[in-house]
Amino acid sequence: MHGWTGKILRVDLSAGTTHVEDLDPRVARDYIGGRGLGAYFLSQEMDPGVDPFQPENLLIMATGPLTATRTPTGSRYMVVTKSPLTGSVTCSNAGGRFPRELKRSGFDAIVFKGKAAHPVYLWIEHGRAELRKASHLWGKTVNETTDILLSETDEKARVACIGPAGEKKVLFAAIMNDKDRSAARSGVGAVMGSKNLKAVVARGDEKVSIAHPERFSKLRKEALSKFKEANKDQQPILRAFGTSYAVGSNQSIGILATKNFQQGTFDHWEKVRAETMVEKYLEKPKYCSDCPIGCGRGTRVKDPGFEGEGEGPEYETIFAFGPNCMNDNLGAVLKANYICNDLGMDTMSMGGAIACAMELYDRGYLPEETIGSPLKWGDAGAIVEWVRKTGLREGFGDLLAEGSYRLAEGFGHPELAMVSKKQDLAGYEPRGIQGMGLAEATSPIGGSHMRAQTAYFEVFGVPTVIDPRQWKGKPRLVKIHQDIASVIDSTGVCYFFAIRYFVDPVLEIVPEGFGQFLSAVTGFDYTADEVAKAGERIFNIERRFMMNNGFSRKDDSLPDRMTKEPMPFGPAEGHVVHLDEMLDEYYDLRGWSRDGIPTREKLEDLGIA
Amino acid sequence: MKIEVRLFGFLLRYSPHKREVLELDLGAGSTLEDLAASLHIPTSEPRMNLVNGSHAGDNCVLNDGDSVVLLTPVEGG
Repeated sequence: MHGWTGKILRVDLSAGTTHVEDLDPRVARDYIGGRGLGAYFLSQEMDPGVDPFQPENLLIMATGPLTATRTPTGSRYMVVTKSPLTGSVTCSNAGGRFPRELKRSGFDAIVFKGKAAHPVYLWIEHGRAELRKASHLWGKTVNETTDILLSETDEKARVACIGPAGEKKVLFAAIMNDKDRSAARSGVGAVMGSKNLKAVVARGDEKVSIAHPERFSKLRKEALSKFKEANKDQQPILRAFGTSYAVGSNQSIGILATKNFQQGTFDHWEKVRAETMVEKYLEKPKYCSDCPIGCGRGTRVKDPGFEGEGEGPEYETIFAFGPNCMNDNLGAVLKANYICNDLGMDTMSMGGAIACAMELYDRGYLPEETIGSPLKWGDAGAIVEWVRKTGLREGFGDLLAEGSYRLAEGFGHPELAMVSKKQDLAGYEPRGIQGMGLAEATSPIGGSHMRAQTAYFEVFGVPTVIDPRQWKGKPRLVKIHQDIASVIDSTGVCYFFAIRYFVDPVLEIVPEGFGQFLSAVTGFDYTADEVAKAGERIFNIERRFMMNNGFSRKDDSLPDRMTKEPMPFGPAEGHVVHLDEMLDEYYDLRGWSRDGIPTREKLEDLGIA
Repeated sequence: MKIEVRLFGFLLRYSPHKREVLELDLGAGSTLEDLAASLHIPTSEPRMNLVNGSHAGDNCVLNDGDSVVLLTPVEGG
């Protein structure tokens, strides 16, 4: 095979064994890799009703055919499992260097099942896999764990691991790689912890076979020279400012989610914007393997009480610990980010839990005795302290560790958790950005800005400006974008590169786009139709897994605040999300019933048995 | 007419004294294109416009008291 290694590593943690099996080329072609391949395995091999913390839950780490091929940004992988936070299939994406190393160590994907009797880690070296004892690592932070593992395996290896949060099954625990990169959402780290699996260490230099090397080389050079041309007068905006650049644009449009989504603008936004971060804390940009962009932030904080260093924050982290908690102390946001990375947690759901707790406290539903101290809006010190205690499940942190939905429900007000499918919404106030609202409501993983990053169109006008407050036309935009994203998520390259090659201004998938890379690398002829169909197939096989878990229209939801309470002030004043209207049209476009269930015809047409 | 202008991203370099927020005095009927020209922003410079929080094209006619944001769009990935 080309592109794919053709090898899947199967790990039975209960038996303590590993074996290698061949990847079926037909499955590879139809589901591509990453998210698609993970969803395929999950739906074929697992009882969908399994509890996520049961040994039978599969934990899948999957690269894509473009990972480690030197396609620009080709160093991404997906973690796929059944989520303990949402009860749905989840896919959690990460970049950095580990994905490339995993592919070069000889495998397209690792499928873990079962549970080890004692903590273990998986060491993969040039195609050989070995389960090793990890009791000496249990309880250690991500940074400590990574350093020890490199010293006992190979200093040139790459590490993906959980921290104490994953071990303690914090419902939004992450799997961290290369210390600061995260497969963060939906508690994939908690599933890993439930299996007594501490880490995966990979080392390899197997080159990925390219089917048409000259064609691929030409495509690669063209892409890089387009990139150079677009950035000839100055560096890319993402390298200069990072994703946090969105703070200014979102504030200006009125979609900077603030105060647990009570408003879309934050009075002190200038204190937490990208320009402030660059000025006060940025040391250097950080790059994933084979990436020309460099959107990562190497940062350091010297502010007393918040000292630390590491990578980040991203826009979502700034929103989650900043405006969403009414906090204007950027140093504290960075510190919270570093702690999340070191204990291994999703910054979005962590911030969401704290913001929700702040609102519950503010309204008198969450007693101060339960917390042990006040929890007022904007308390920077409290935010940092509760992040740490949540990662260790200490005191009230044990409740925060269950996530905002279960927290709010426990105090009688689930409507105050800003979630969809119990997963915290991203930092775009949906009342001011209708497409994102629909995308989050219909995302398979619950709240997420990445299952269709509609801000590209609705905020940044890439490739063309679309009015964020207009709901008409959004069902089609979201449906197409979700299918595209499903493919991107399966190929092993980064959204920031791939989105440029997919969509033309009238939102049809571009035949001369991404399919060309896939065809040149794999040797299969990925036409525009086939690419589009693969995306739809992946999205629908996930939906079928959800259907078998009782998900339907009632779960494609947003909080009542978004759909029933007009935005109180700001540029999006007066707006609500027109979710019901959009859902009807969206389901029709998807070929699903009005209750959000794929029809038999649709599944058969996509080849999903 | 008085227009409040903010310059984000690389457009800050076109601001006198590098101040991000400017109060400009423009003639009635001025467009965004006129505003950009008054700041000597070349037409080749990538730019996205927001007027009172909404996307706007270069031929958008401005009104007294409008809030304008000119920003470098996300490019190159």
